[in-house]
Amino acid sequence: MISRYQKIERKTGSKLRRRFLVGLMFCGMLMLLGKAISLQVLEKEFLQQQGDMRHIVATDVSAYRGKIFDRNGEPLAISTPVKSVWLNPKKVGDVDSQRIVKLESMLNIPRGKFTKVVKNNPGKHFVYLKRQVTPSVAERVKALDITGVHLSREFKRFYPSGEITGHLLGFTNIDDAGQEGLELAFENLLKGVPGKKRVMRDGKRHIIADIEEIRSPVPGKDLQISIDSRLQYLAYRELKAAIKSHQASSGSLVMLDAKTGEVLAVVNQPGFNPNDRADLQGYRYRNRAMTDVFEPGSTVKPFLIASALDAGYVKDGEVVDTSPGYYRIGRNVVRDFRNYGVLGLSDILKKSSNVAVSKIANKMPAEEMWSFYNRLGMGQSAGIGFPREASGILIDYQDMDSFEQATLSFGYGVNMSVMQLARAYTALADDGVLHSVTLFKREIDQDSRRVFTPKTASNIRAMLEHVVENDGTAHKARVDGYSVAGKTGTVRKIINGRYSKDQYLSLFVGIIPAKDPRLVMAVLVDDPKAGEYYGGAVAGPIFSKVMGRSMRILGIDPSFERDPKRPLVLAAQEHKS
Amino acid sequence: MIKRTLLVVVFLGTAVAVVYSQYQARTLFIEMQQLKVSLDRYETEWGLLQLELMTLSEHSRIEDAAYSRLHFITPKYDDIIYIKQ
Repeated sequence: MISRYQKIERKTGSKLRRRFLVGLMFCGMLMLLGKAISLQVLEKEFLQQQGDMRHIVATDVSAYRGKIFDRNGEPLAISTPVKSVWLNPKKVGDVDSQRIVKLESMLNIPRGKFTKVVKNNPGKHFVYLKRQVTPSVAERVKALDITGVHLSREFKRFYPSGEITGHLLGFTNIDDAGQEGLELAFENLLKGVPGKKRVMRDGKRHIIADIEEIRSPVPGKDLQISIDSRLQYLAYRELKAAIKSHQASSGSLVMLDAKTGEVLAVVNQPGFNPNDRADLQGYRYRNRAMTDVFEPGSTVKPFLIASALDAGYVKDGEVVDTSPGYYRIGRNVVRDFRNYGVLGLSDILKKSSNVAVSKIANKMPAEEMWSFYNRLGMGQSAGIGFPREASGILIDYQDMDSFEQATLSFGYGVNMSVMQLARAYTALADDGVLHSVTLFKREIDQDSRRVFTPKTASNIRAMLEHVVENDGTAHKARVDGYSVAGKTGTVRKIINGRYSKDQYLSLFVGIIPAKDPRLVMAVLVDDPKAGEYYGGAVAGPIFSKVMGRSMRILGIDPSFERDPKRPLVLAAQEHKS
Repeated sequence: MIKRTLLVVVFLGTAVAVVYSQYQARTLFIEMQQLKVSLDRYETEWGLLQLELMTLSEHSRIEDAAYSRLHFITPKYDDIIYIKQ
């Protein structure tokens, strides 16, 4: 009996237990379901926000762009961190309009732009509102704390010397990539490699903690260039003033170190300020001194005489009869300004006689003359590595007739850039050795080559000193206290394939001091419209003004001794009295 | 038995060391980031100072000050006395 009773009891016990267990499981299920509903439906937004708050992501770390310095270590281009303001239209809620107006006036953007940007980009997460704002503005934007408005770190390029080095350095675009000039030419060197790091971000995409570095950023390399910013400034100022006073359309100037081929200054007009993006128009930012070519005219005459001397077609002291002031070659005529009569070599350069050089040129075989011109770098790029650097054209000797050969002797039928012209003159300046040109600082030029004998080169320089004398074509290029060797050029411009009758290029190329050359400078003024257009009158004075000061800046000894009759007064004594 | 105990101890030791070095790496990294932030601030300041310097030391400004405010003149060549050594 007992066992039976017990059996029943056990039966009921198991039944109870089963119910209990089933109930428990059901409860558990309900709880799970409830939790799921609460997670998925009720608390979804809150939880997602919380999740966003602790987001671990990998972000880019921007690298510094290399700086550019001049030869004395003055910064010419520097990158500074700035902030850009961007917004996430999806996260921008209802903001009181007062704060938006405040933001807009802070960023100096038109009223209502904020709302417009939000409305026009509904599907986007990232829209720039204003790029590259100053640090102080960024601070104030941050203080406003508008939801959905963020700041990101970028670099802005500053050019402390502004328009003075504008053409040379070029500029970068808003993403800090080189677009023109040296910035473009040495983009690979200057630009850095961005790094990566893992960070924890909050819901506002603010970085709240750095976790680890994946790859460290590699900053770009700094560049030191051969430019001397003091000379660059002088050259720019004088060229600008001259272009203005002569109402010329453009101009270029190149200054080279005669011994090393380093470019000390290269300036152009019209100019532009690389710090102001509104200024960026092609005709303004083109570095004409390197990219534009022209016919060098009379400035090549010294090369012809030097070639003829070296090759033995004329002798030192020889004379050429230029009467009656013109020279017939086949059906063509070469003319002089007037009949100069019989001229010695020195006077040929001083008077710049086309007839005389044509006669000398026609004594030379075309191939030999061509080879001298070619070795002076005509028809070849100067090899600076500047973007769109011109190589110019020198017609082939096989296609040359004797008239063309004659025109080549006074600088037509060949074209070159101001840089190439200045470079060619290094062959006269450094006793017959043509230098390569570079924008980098260097002690010696490894890539020079001899074109003329030392004797011929110094001989030509002595002749060119007469050009700058009182009755020479370039007496306005004189520099007090220094001997100058130089040559002027006044070239008719080609307009629509014809030589213009009233538009000229005024040129001057000079070497200073003539006895022991240190600097070479070429100046080109394009289409002076204020009356004067002769190279000596327009370009010559620029040389004189720039060089006079450059000599003092560089501390180069004057070429002439003082007048011994004047009593020597020491500066200190003079001061006392 | 001793060998096994030793292995366990070494194992635990390296595990702790790994954790520790990881922790140290993070601390150092955070410190580095903070320093980078200050470097950034200095760079910004340097840029601003550079700009200021550029405006103040502009060649044309110096020239103008020398001529008009300080009444400097460029000496004529004849007025310059060179002292030869």
